[in-house]
Amino acid sequence: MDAEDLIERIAAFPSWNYRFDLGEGISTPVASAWRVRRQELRRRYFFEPLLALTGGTLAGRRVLDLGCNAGFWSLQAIEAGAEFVLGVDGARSAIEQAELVFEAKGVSRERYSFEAVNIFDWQPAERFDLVLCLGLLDVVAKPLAVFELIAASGAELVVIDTGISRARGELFEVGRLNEPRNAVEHELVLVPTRPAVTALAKRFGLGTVALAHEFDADELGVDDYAAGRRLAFICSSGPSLEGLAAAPEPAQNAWAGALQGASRSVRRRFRSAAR
Amino acid sequence: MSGPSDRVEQQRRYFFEPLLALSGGTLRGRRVLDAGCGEGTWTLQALEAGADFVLGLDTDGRAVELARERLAAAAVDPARYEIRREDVTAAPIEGGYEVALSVAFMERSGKPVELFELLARAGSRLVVIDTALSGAPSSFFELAMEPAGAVPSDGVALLPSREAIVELAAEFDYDCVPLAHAMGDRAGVGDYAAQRRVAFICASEAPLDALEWEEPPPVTPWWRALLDPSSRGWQVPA
Repeated sequence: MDAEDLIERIAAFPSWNYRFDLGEGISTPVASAWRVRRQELRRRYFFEPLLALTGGTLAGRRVLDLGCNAGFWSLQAIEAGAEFVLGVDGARSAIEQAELVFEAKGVSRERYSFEAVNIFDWQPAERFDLVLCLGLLDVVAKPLAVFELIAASGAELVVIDTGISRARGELFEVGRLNEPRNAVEHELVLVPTRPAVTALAKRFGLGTVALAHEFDADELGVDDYAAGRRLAFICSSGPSLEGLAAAPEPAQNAWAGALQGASRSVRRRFRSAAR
Repeated sequence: MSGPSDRVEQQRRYFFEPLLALSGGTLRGRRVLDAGCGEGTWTLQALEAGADFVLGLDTDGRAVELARERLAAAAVDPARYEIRREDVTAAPIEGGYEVALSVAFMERSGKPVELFELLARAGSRLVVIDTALSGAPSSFFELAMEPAGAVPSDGVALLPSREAIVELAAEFDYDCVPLAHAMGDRAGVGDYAAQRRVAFICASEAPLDALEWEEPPPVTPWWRALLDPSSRGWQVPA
Protein backbone atom coordinates (compact mmCIF):
# COMPACT_ATOMS: atom_id res chain seq x y z
CA MET A 1 0.00 0.00 0.00
CA ASP A 2 1.58 3.30 -1.07
CA ALA A 3 0.97 6.69 0.57
CA GLU A 4 -1.59 7.83 -1.98
CA ASP A 5 -3.53 4.63 -1.63
CA LEU A 6 -3.48 4.95 2.16
CA ILE A 7 -4.73 8.55 2.07
CA GLU A 8 -7.54 7.51 -0.20
CA ARG A 9 -8.58 4.63 2.04
CA ILE A 10 -8.49 6.85 5.14
CA ALA A 11 -10.65 9.45 3.41
CA ALA A 12 -13.18 6.79 2.42
CA PHE A 13 -14.46 6.71 6.02
CA PRO A 14 -16.92 9.45 6.94
CA SER A 15 -15.41 9.90 10.40
CA TRP A 16 -12.72 8.67 12.77
CA ASN A 17 -12.94 8.65 16.58
CA TYR A 18 -9.19 8.27 17.09
CA ARG A 19 -6.16 9.82 15.49
CA PHE A 20 -3.54 7.38 14.33
CA ASP A 21 -0.17 8.49 13.06
CA LEU A 22 0.52 6.17 10.18
CA GLY A 23 3.95 7.47 9.19
CA GLU A 24 5.13 9.78 6.38
CA GLY A 25 3.02 12.54 7.92
CA ILE A 26 -0.19 10.66 7.26
CA SER A 27 -2.74 10.49 10.06
CA THR A 28 -6.43 9.79 10.44
CA PRO A 29 -8.53 12.95 10.73
CA VAL A 30 -10.58 13.51 13.89
CA ALA A 31 -13.32 16.09 14.17
CA SER A 32 -11.82 18.06 17.07
CA ALA A 33 -8.35 18.56 18.48
CA TRP A 34 -9.51 17.72 21.99
CA ARG A 35 -10.13 14.12 20.95
CA VAL A 36 -6.39 13.67 20.43
CA ARG A 37 -5.66 15.14 23.83
CA ARG A 38 -8.36 12.94 25.35
CA GLN A 39 -6.91 9.73 23.96
CA GLU A 40 -3.48 10.66 25.33
CA LEU A 41 -4.85 11.53 28.77
CA ARG A 42 -6.87 8.31 28.90
CA ARG A 43 -3.74 6.36 27.95
CA ARG A 44 -1.88 7.90 30.88
CA TYR A 45 -4.87 7.40 33.17
CA PHE A 46 -5.52 3.69 32.80
CA PHE A 47 -3.11 2.17 30.31
CA GLU A 48 0.07 3.18 32.12
CA PRO A 49 -1.12 1.82 35.51
CA LEU A 50 -2.06 -1.39 33.68
CA LEU A 51 1.46 -1.69 32.31
CA ALA A 52 2.91 -0.90 35.72
CA LEU A 53 0.93 -3.86 37.02
CA THR A 54 2.25 -6.22 34.34
CA GLY A 55 5.88 -5.24 34.71
CA GLY A 56 5.96 -2.64 31.94
CA THR A 57 5.07 -5.01 29.12
CA LEU A 58 2.23 -7.15 27.83
CA ALA A 59 4.70 -9.62 26.32
CA GLY A 60 3.30 -13.12 26.20
CA ARG A 61 -0.25 -11.96 26.90
CA ARG A 62 -3.32 -12.53 24.80
CA VAL A 63 -5.69 -9.58 24.79
CA LEU A 64 -9.43 -9.38 24.08
CA ASP A 65 -10.64 -5.88 23.18
CA LEU A 66 -14.44 -5.80 23.67
CA GLY A 67 -15.98 -2.96 21.65
CA CYS A 68 -12.66 -2.19 20.00
CA ASN A 69 -13.85 0.65 17.71
CA ALA A 70 -10.99 1.55 15.32
CA GLY A 71 -8.51 -0.52 17.32
CA PHE A 72 -6.76 2.31 19.17
CA TRP A 73 -6.43 0.30 22.39
CA SER A 74 -5.73 -2.93 20.53
CA LEU A 75 -2.81 -1.12 18.94
CA GLN A 76 -1.63 0.16 22.33
CA ALA A 77 -1.65 -3.45 23.53
CA ILE A 78 0.35 -4.61 20.50
CA GLU A 79 2.87 -1.78 20.94
CA ALA A 80 3.16 -2.80 24.61
CA GLY A 81 4.26 -6.22 23.41
CA ALA A 82 1.03 -8.26 23.52
CA GLU A 83 1.39 -11.63 21.82
CA PHE A 84 -2.07 -11.49 20.24
CA VAL A 85 -5.08 -9.16 20.17
CA LEU A 86 -8.63 -9.99 19.20
CA GLY A 87 -10.82 -6.93 18.70
CA VAL A 88 -14.59 -7.29 18.41
CA ASP A 89 -17.09 -4.58 17.62
CA GLY A 90 -20.65 -4.45 16.35
CA ALA A 91 -19.87 -1.72 13.81
CA ARG A 92 -18.47 -3.07 10.56
CA SER A 93 -16.99 0.31 9.59
CA ALA A 94 -15.04 0.43 12.88
CA ILE A 95 -13.62 -3.03 12.18
CA GLU A 96 -12.63 -1.92 8.67
CA GLN A 97 -10.84 1.08 10.19
CA ALA A 98 -9.00 -1.18 12.62
CA GLU A 99 -7.97 -3.51 9.78
CA LEU A 100 -6.66 -0.55 7.81
CA VAL A 101 -4.71 0.88 10.77
CA PHE A 102 -3.07 -2.45 11.59
CA GLU A 103 -2.18 -3.04 7.95
CA ALA A 104 -0.70 0.46 7.63
CA LYS A 105 1.22 -0.02 10.86
CA GLY A 106 2.64 -3.25 9.50
CA VAL A 107 1.56 -5.37 12.45
CA SER A 108 2.15 -9.02 11.69
CA ARG A 109 -1.10 -10.79 10.68
CA GLU A 110 -0.50 -13.57 13.20
CA ARG A 111 -0.68 -11.10 16.05
CA TYR A 112 -4.22 -9.82 15.59
CA SER A 113 -7.71 -10.47 14.40
CA PHE A 114 -10.79 -8.25 14.20
CA GLU A 115 -14.38 -9.42 14.05
CA ALA A 116 -17.54 -7.48 13.29
CA VAL A 117 -20.07 -9.18 15.57
CA ASN A 118 -22.71 -8.29 18.10
CA ILE A 119 -20.81 -9.32 21.23
CA PHE A 120 -24.05 -10.55 22.81
CA ASP A 121 -24.43 -13.16 20.07
CA TRP A 122 -20.84 -14.21 20.41
CA GLN A 123 -18.59 -16.25 22.69
CA PRO A 124 -14.78 -16.19 22.87
CA ALA A 125 -13.54 -19.44 21.37
CA GLU A 126 -10.10 -19.12 22.97
CA ARG A 127 -8.72 -18.01 26.30
CA PHE A 128 -7.27 -14.58 26.99
CA ASP A 129 -5.11 -13.07 29.72
CA LEU A 130 -6.40 -9.51 29.55
CA VAL A 131 -9.74 -8.00 28.61
CA LEU A 132 -10.11 -4.37 27.58
CA CYS A 133 -13.66 -3.19 28.11
CA LEU A 134 -13.33 0.48 27.26
CA GLY A 135 -16.32 2.69 26.60
CA LEU A 136 -18.59 -0.33 26.36
CA LEU A 137 -20.45 -0.92 29.62
CA ASP A 138 -22.34 2.39 29.56
CA VAL A 139 -23.47 2.08 25.94
CA VAL A 140 -25.15 -1.32 26.35
CA ALA A 141 -28.04 -2.59 28.45
CA LYS A 142 -26.69 -5.99 29.48
CA PRO A 143 -24.13 -5.58 32.27
CA LEU A 144 -24.43 -9.16 33.44
CA ALA A 145 -23.87 -10.48 29.92
CA VAL A 146 -20.71 -8.35 29.63
CA PHE A 147 -19.32 -9.90 32.80
CA GLU A 148 -20.26 -13.37 31.54
CA LEU A 149 -18.19 -12.66 28.43
CA ILE A 150 -15.28 -11.50 30.56
CA ALA A 151 -15.55 -14.67 32.64
CA ALA A 152 -15.76 -16.83 29.50
CA SER A 153 -12.49 -15.32 28.27
CA GLY A 154 -10.71 -16.68 31.34
CA ALA A 155 -8.79 -13.41 31.74
CA GLU A 156 -7.25 -12.59 35.11
CA LEU A 157 -6.93 -8.88 34.30
CA VAL A 158 -9.67 -6.56 33.09
CA VAL A 159 -9.68 -2.84 32.39
CA ILE A 160 -13.12 -1.23 32.43
CA ASP A 161 -13.51 2.39 31.37
CA THR A 162 -17.09 3.55 31.53
CA GLY A 163 -19.48 6.40 32.10
CA ILE A 164 -20.94 6.07 35.57
CA SER A 165 -24.10 7.14 37.31
CA ARG A 166 -23.49 9.25 40.39
CA ALA A 167 -26.49 7.80 42.23
CA ARG A 168 -25.67 6.13 45.53
CA GLY A 169 -25.84 2.39 45.87
CA GLU A 170 -25.29 -0.64 43.65
CA LEU A 171 -27.44 0.65 40.83
CA PHE A 172 -27.74 0.82 37.09
CA GLU A 173 -29.33 4.00 35.86
CA VAL A 174 -31.55 3.73 32.82
CA GLY A 175 -30.26 6.14 30.21
CA ARG A 176 -30.46 6.85 26.52
CA LEU A 177 -27.63 7.10 24.04
CA ASN A 178 -26.87 10.58 22.82
CA GLU A 179 -26.10 9.20 19.43
CA PRO A 180 -28.59 6.43 18.65
CA ARG A 181 -26.58 5.42 15.59
CA ASN A 182 -23.90 4.16 17.98
CA ALA A 183 -26.36 1.76 19.62
CA VAL A 184 -24.98 -1.77 19.85
CA GLU A 185 -28.53 -3.12 20.18
CA HIS A 186 -30.83 -0.68 21.96
CA GLU A 187 -30.97 3.05 22.53
CA LEU A 188 -31.79 2.31 26.14
CA VAL A 189 -28.65 1.71 28.18
CA LEU A 190 -27.88 0.76 31.79
CA VAL A 191 -25.21 3.01 33.27
CA PRO A 192 -23.55 1.54 36.37
CA THR A 193 -22.62 3.29 39.57
CA ARG A 194 -19.09 2.76 40.87
CA PRO A 195 -20.29 0.37 43.62
CA ALA A 196 -22.27 -1.62 41.03
CA VAL A 197 -19.14 -2.21 38.92
CA THR A 198 -17.13 -3.22 41.99
CA ALA A 199 -19.83 -5.54 43.33
CA LEU A 200 -20.44 -7.25 40.01
CA ALA A 201 -16.71 -7.74 39.42
CA LYS A 202 -16.39 -9.22 42.91
CA ARG A 203 -19.19 -11.65 42.12
CA PHE A 204 -17.07 -12.86 39.19
CA GLY A 205 -14.03 -13.30 41.40
CA LEU A 206 -12.29 -10.04 40.47
CA GLY A 207 -10.86 -7.53 42.91
CA THR A 208 -11.29 -3.97 41.68
CA VAL A 209 -9.64 -0.59 42.01
CA ALA A 210 -11.34 2.53 40.65
CA LEU A 211 -8.31 4.46 39.43
CA ALA A 212 -7.45 7.83 40.93
CA HIS A 213 -7.07 10.71 38.50
CA GLU A 214 -6.32 14.40 38.44
CA PHE A 215 -8.24 15.48 35.39
CA ASP A 216 -8.76 19.18 35.06
CA ALA A 217 -12.42 20.19 34.94
CA ASP A 218 -11.55 23.03 32.59
CA GLU A 219 -9.84 20.84 30.05
CA LEU A 220 -11.96 20.10 27.04
CA GLY A 221 -12.37 16.38 26.42
CA VAL A 222 -11.92 15.01 29.92
CA ASP A 223 -14.66 16.95 31.68
CA ASP A 224 -16.65 13.72 32.14
CA TYR A 225 -13.86 12.20 34.25
CA ALA A 226 -13.33 15.45 36.14
CA ALA A 227 -17.03 15.72 36.95
CA GLY A 228 -17.19 12.16 38.30
CA ARG A 229 -19.29 10.95 35.37
CA ARG A 230 -16.66 8.57 34.11
CA LEU A 231 -14.12 6.25 35.72
CA ALA A 232 -11.67 3.54 34.81
CA PHE A 233 -11.38 0.37 36.85
CA ILE A 234 -8.68 -2.27 36.90
CA CYS A 235 -10.00 -5.67 37.97
CA SER A 236 -7.84 -8.65 38.78
CA SER A 237 -8.10 -12.23 39.94
CA GLY A 238 -4.32 -12.55 39.68
CA PRO A 239 -1.83 -9.71 40.17
CA SER A 240 -2.28 -7.73 43.38
CA LEU A 241 -3.82 -4.30 42.92
CA GLU A 242 -2.42 -2.95 46.16
CA GLY A 243 0.02 -0.57 44.50
CA LEU A 244 -2.70 1.24 42.53
CA ALA A 245 -4.04 4.57 43.78
CA ALA A 246 -7.81 4.46 44.18
CA ALA A 247 -10.05 7.40 43.35
CA PRO A 248 -11.47 8.89 46.54
CA GLU A 249 -15.08 8.01 47.31
CA PRO A 250 -17.42 10.86 46.44
CA ALA A 251 -17.73 13.23 49.38
CA GLN A 252 -20.58 12.42 51.71
CA ASN A 253 -22.44 15.12 53.49
CA ALA A 254 -20.97 15.01 57.01
CA TRP A 255 -24.23 16.26 58.49
CA ALA A 256 -26.18 13.52 56.78
CA GLY A 257 -23.86 10.92 58.27
CA ALA A 258 -24.24 12.28 61.78
CA LEU A 259 -28.01 12.53 61.42
CA GLN A 260 -28.23 9.03 60.05
CA GLY A 261 -26.56 7.70 63.18
CA ALA A 262 -28.90 9.72 65.36
CA SER A 263 -31.97 8.68 63.42
CA ARG A 264 -31.11 5.03 63.88
CA SER A 265 -31.42 5.33 67.63
CA VAL A 266 -34.61 7.36 67.24
CA ARG A 267 -36.08 4.66 65.04
CA ARG A 268 -35.12 2.01 67.54
CA ARG A 269 -36.98 3.93 70.23
CA PHE A 270 -40.03 4.26 68.00
CA ARG A 271 -39.99 0.60 67.28
CA SER A 272 -39.83 -0.42 70.93
CA ALA A 273 -42.61 2.07 71.72
CA ALA A 274 -44.77 0.46 69.06
CA ARG A 275 -44.41 -2.98 70.58
CA MET B 1 -57.01 -17.60 57.67
CA SER B 2 -54.30 -16.69 55.27
CA GLY B 3 -52.05 -18.90 53.25
CA PRO B 4 -50.54 -19.29 49.82
CA SER B 5 -53.96 -19.92 48.26
CA ASP B 6 -55.27 -16.60 49.58
CA ARG B 7 -52.30 -14.90 47.99
CA VAL B 8 -52.90 -16.59 44.67
CA GLU B 9 -56.59 -15.63 44.83
CA GLN B 10 -55.63 -12.01 45.52
CA GLN B 11 -53.08 -12.06 42.70
CA ARG B 12 -55.71 -13.57 40.41
CA ARG B 13 -58.03 -10.66 41.02
CA TYR B 14 -55.15 -8.20 40.85
CA PHE B 15 -53.46 -9.01 37.56
CA PHE B 16 -54.90 -12.18 36.03
CA GLU B 17 -58.49 -11.01 35.69
CA PRO B 18 -57.46 -7.71 34.02
CA LEU B 19 -55.33 -9.79 31.65
CA LEU B 20 -58.34 -12.00 30.82
CA ALA B 21 -60.52 -8.95 30.34
CA LEU B 22 -58.04 -7.47 27.85
CA SER B 23 -57.92 -10.80 26.08
CA GLY B 24 -61.70 -10.81 25.59
CA GLY B 25 -62.66 -12.64 28.78
CA THR B 26 -60.90 -15.87 27.90
CA LEU B 27 -57.56 -17.25 26.77
CA ARG B 28 -59.31 -19.61 24.38
CA GLY B 29 -57.49 -19.71 21.08
CA ARG B 30 -54.32 -18.25 22.62
CA ARG B 31 -50.89 -19.68 23.09
CA VAL B 32 -49.30 -18.44 26.29
CA LEU B 33 -45.66 -18.13 27.33
CA ASP B 34 -44.97 -18.37 31.06
CA ALA B 35 -41.45 -16.93 31.40
CA GLY B 36 -40.15 -18.06 34.76
CA CYS B 37 -43.06 -20.40 35.51
CA GLY B 38 -41.73 -21.50 38.89
CA GLU B 39 -43.99 -24.19 40.32
CA GLY B 40 -46.54 -23.72 37.56
CA THR B 41 -49.18 -21.72 39.43
CA TRP B 42 -49.85 -19.40 36.50
CA THR B 43 -49.28 -22.03 33.84
CA LEU B 44 -52.20 -23.89 35.38
CA GLN B 45 -54.28 -20.72 35.73
CA ALA B 46 -53.74 -19.95 32.05
CA LEU B 47 -54.77 -23.47 31.08
CA GLU B 48 -57.86 -23.27 33.26
CA ALA B 49 -58.69 -19.95 31.59
CA GLY B 50 -58.86 -21.84 28.31
CA ALA B 51 -55.43 -21.28 26.74
CA ASP B 52 -54.83 -23.62 23.80
CA PHE B 53 -51.24 -24.20 24.83
CA VAL B 54 -48.91 -22.93 27.54
CA LEU B 55 -45.12 -23.10 27.44
CA GLY B 56 -43.61 -22.78 30.91
CA LEU B 57 -39.89 -22.02 31.21
CA ASP B 58 -37.75 -21.95 34.30
CA THR B 59 -34.09 -22.35 35.19
CA ASP B 60 -34.86 -23.89 38.57
CA GLY B 61 -34.89 -27.69 38.18
CA ARG B 62 -36.79 -28.31 41.41
CA ALA B 63 -39.51 -25.81 40.53
CA VAL B 64 -39.83 -27.40 37.08
CA GLU B 65 -40.38 -30.83 38.70
CA LEU B 66 -43.04 -29.38 41.00
CA ALA B 67 -44.74 -27.65 38.06
CA ARG B 68 -44.89 -30.91 36.13
CA GLU B 69 -46.34 -32.72 39.15
CA ARG B 70 -48.92 -30.00 39.68
CA LEU B 71 -50.08 -30.09 36.07
CA ALA B 72 -50.19 -33.88 36.04
CA ALA B 73 -52.26 -33.82 39.25
CA ALA B 74 -54.65 -31.32 37.68
CA ALA B 75 -55.22 -33.81 34.86
CA VAL B 76 -54.74 -31.25 32.09
CA ASP B 77 -54.31 -32.77 28.63
CA PRO B 78 -50.50 -33.03 28.31
CA ALA B 79 -50.76 -31.92 24.68
CA ARG B 80 -51.81 -28.48 25.94
CA TYR B 81 -48.63 -27.63 27.78
CA GLU B 82 -44.88 -28.06 28.00
CA ILE B 83 -42.63 -27.25 30.94
CA ARG B 84 -38.99 -26.77 30.00
CA ARG B 85 -35.99 -26.36 32.21
CA GLU B 86 -34.07 -23.73 30.34
CA ASP B 87 -32.09 -20.52 30.58
CA VAL B 88 -35.32 -18.52 30.32
CA THR B 89 -34.13 -15.36 28.59
CA ALA B 90 -32.05 -17.35 26.10
CA ALA B 91 -34.92 -19.65 25.07
CA PRO B 92 -34.95 -20.22 21.31
CA ILE B 93 -38.51 -19.13 20.60
CA GLU B 94 -39.72 -17.58 17.37
CA GLY B 95 -43.22 -16.16 17.53
CA GLY B 96 -46.48 -17.86 18.31
CA TYR B 97 -47.19 -16.64 21.84
CA GLU B 98 -49.57 -13.67 21.77
CA VAL B 99 -49.90 -13.68 25.54
CA ALA B 100 -47.09 -13.88 28.08
CA LEU B 101 -46.82 -14.04 31.83
CA SER B 102 -43.73 -13.42 33.90
CA VAL B 103 -44.58 -13.61 37.56
CA ALA B 104 -41.89 -13.18 40.21
CA PHE B 105 -39.21 -13.87 37.60
CA MET B 106 -37.62 -10.49 36.92
CA GLU B 107 -36.59 -10.18 40.55
CA ARG B 108 -34.47 -13.32 40.29
CA SER B 109 -32.99 -12.52 36.90
CA GLY B 110 -30.06 -10.28 36.10
CA LYS B 111 -31.28 -9.88 32.53
CA PRO B 112 -34.28 -7.58 32.32
CA VAL B 113 -33.49 -6.42 28.78
CA GLU B 114 -33.01 -9.99 27.61
CA LEU B 115 -36.45 -10.82 29.10
CA PHE B 116 -38.04 -8.17 26.92
CA GLU B 117 -36.11 -9.46 23.92
CA LEU B 118 -37.62 -12.88 24.65
CA LEU B 119 -41.12 -11.39 24.78
CA ALA B 120 -40.48 -9.62 21.48
CA ARG B 121 -39.14 -12.84 19.90
CA ALA B 122 -42.19 -14.71 21.17
CA GLY B 123 -44.43 -12.19 19.43
CA SER B 124 -46.24 -11.41 22.69
CA ARG B 125 -48.67 -8.52 22.39
CA LEU B 126 -50.21 -8.78 25.85
CA VAL B 127 -47.93 -9.32 28.83
CA VAL B 128 -48.18 -9.41 32.60
CA ILE B 129 -44.99 -8.73 34.52
CA ASP B 130 -45.24 -9.11 38.25
CA THR B 131 -42.07 -8.30 40.13
CA ALA B 132 -40.59 -7.10 43.38
CA LEU B 133 -39.41 -3.53 42.95
CA SER B 134 -36.47 -1.45 43.96
CA GLY B 135 -37.59 1.69 45.69
CA ALA B 136 -34.83 3.60 43.91
CA PRO B 137 -36.07 7.00 42.79
CA SER B 138 -36.75 7.37 39.04
CA SER B 139 -35.39 4.91 36.55
CA PHE B 140 -32.93 2.39 38.00
CA PHE B 141 -32.12 -1.27 38.28
CA GLU B 142 -30.73 -2.26 41.65
CA LEU B 143 -28.16 -4.99 41.95
CA ALA B 144 -29.39 -7.67 44.36
CA MET B 145 -27.28 -10.74 44.93
CA GLU B 146 -27.93 -14.06 46.56
CA PRO B 147 -25.20 -16.63 47.16
CA ALA B 148 -23.76 -17.80 43.84
CA GLY B 149 -24.94 -21.04 42.29
CA ALA B 150 -23.10 -23.12 39.74
CA VAL B 151 -22.02 -20.00 37.83
CA PRO B 152 -21.46 -16.47 39.18
CA SER B 153 -24.48 -15.04 37.36
CA ASP B 154 -26.85 -17.41 39.17
CA GLY B 155 -28.47 -15.46 41.96
CA VAL B 156 -27.62 -12.05 40.51
CA ALA B 157 -30.75 -9.98 40.04
CA LEU B 158 -31.38 -6.53 38.66
CA LEU B 159 -34.36 -5.30 40.60
CA PRO B 160 -36.27 -2.68 38.62
CA SER B 161 -37.83 0.53 39.85
CA ARG B 162 -41.34 1.07 38.50
CA GLU B 163 -40.15 3.78 36.12
CA ALA B 164 -37.47 1.46 34.82
CA ILE B 165 -40.09 -1.14 33.81
CA VAL B 166 -42.24 1.45 32.07
CA GLU B 167 -39.22 2.81 30.19
CA LEU B 168 -37.96 -0.63 29.25
CA ALA B 169 -41.42 -1.62 28.02
CA ALA B 170 -41.55 1.56 25.91
CA GLU B 171 -38.19 0.66 24.35
CA PHE B 172 -39.89 -2.52 23.09
CA ASP B 173 -42.99 -0.63 21.88
CA TYR B 174 -45.27 -1.70 24.70
CA ASP B 175 -47.65 0.57 26.52
CA CYS B 176 -47.27 -0.29 30.16
CA VAL B 177 -49.48 0.28 33.18
CA PRO B 178 -48.49 -0.50 36.76
CA LEU B 179 -51.76 -1.97 38.01
CA ALA B 180 -53.62 -0.40 40.89
CA HIS B 181 -54.81 -2.93 43.38
CA ALA B 182 -57.54 -2.94 45.93
CA MET B 183 -56.39 -5.73 48.15
CA GLY B 184 -58.58 -4.96 51.11
CA ASP B 185 -57.11 -7.72 53.17
CA ARG B 186 -53.34 -7.37 53.57
CA ALA B 187 -52.90 -10.95 54.75
CA GLY B 188 -50.20 -12.57 52.67
CA VAL B 189 -49.93 -9.62 50.29
CA GLY B 190 -48.08 -7.10 52.42
CA ASP B 191 -45.45 -6.71 49.71
CA TYR B 192 -48.11 -5.50 47.25
CA ALA B 193 -49.73 -3.26 49.86
CA ALA B 194 -46.37 -1.65 50.59
CA GLN B 195 -45.70 -1.31 46.82
CA ARG B 196 -42.58 -3.40 47.12
CA ARG B 197 -44.22 -5.55 44.48
CA VAL B 198 -46.31 -4.41 41.53
CA ALA B 199 -47.79 -6.09 38.49
CA PHE B 200 -47.54 -4.35 35.13
CA ILE B 201 -49.65 -4.97 32.08
CA CYS B 202 -47.81 -4.32 28.85
CA ALA B 203 -49.62 -4.28 25.54
CA SER B 204 -48.50 -3.48 22.03
CA GLU B 205 -51.97 -3.27 20.53
CA ALA B 206 -54.79 -3.42 23.07
CA PRO B 207 -55.62 0.01 24.50
CA LEU B 208 -54.85 0.21 28.21
CA ASP B 209 -56.82 3.40 28.93
CA ALA B 210 -59.40 1.53 30.97
CA LEU B 211 -56.85 0.23 33.47
CA GLU B 212 -56.37 2.05 36.72
CA TRP B 213 -52.81 3.12 37.46
CA GLU B 214 -51.14 2.43 40.73
CA GLU B 215 -50.03 5.79 42.06
CA PRO B 216 -46.43 5.87 43.25
CA PRO B 217 -45.88 6.08 46.99
CA PRO B 218 -45.94 9.63 48.37
CA VAL B 219 -42.71 11.56 48.20
CA THR B 220 -40.88 11.83 51.50
CA PRO B 221 -41.18 15.39 52.87
CA TRP B 222 -37.89 17.25 52.86
CA TRP B 223 -37.82 17.64 56.67
CA ARG B 224 -38.15 13.91 57.12
CA ALA B 225 -35.41 13.26 54.58
CA LEU B 226 -33.23 15.68 56.51
CA LEU B 227 -33.90 14.01 59.85
CA ASP B 228 -33.64 10.52 58.44
CA PRO B 229 -31.42 10.35 55.34
CA SER B 230 -32.18 6.67 54.92
CA SER B 231 -35.82 7.52 54.20
CA ARG B 232 -34.72 9.10 50.92
CA GLY B 233 -33.31 5.80 49.96
CA TRP B 234 -35.11 2.53 49.82
CA GLN B 235 -35.27 -0.86 51.40
CA VAL B 236 -33.70 -3.81 49.67
CA PRO B 237 -36.34 -6.51 49.91
CA ALA B 238 -35.41 -9.25 52.36
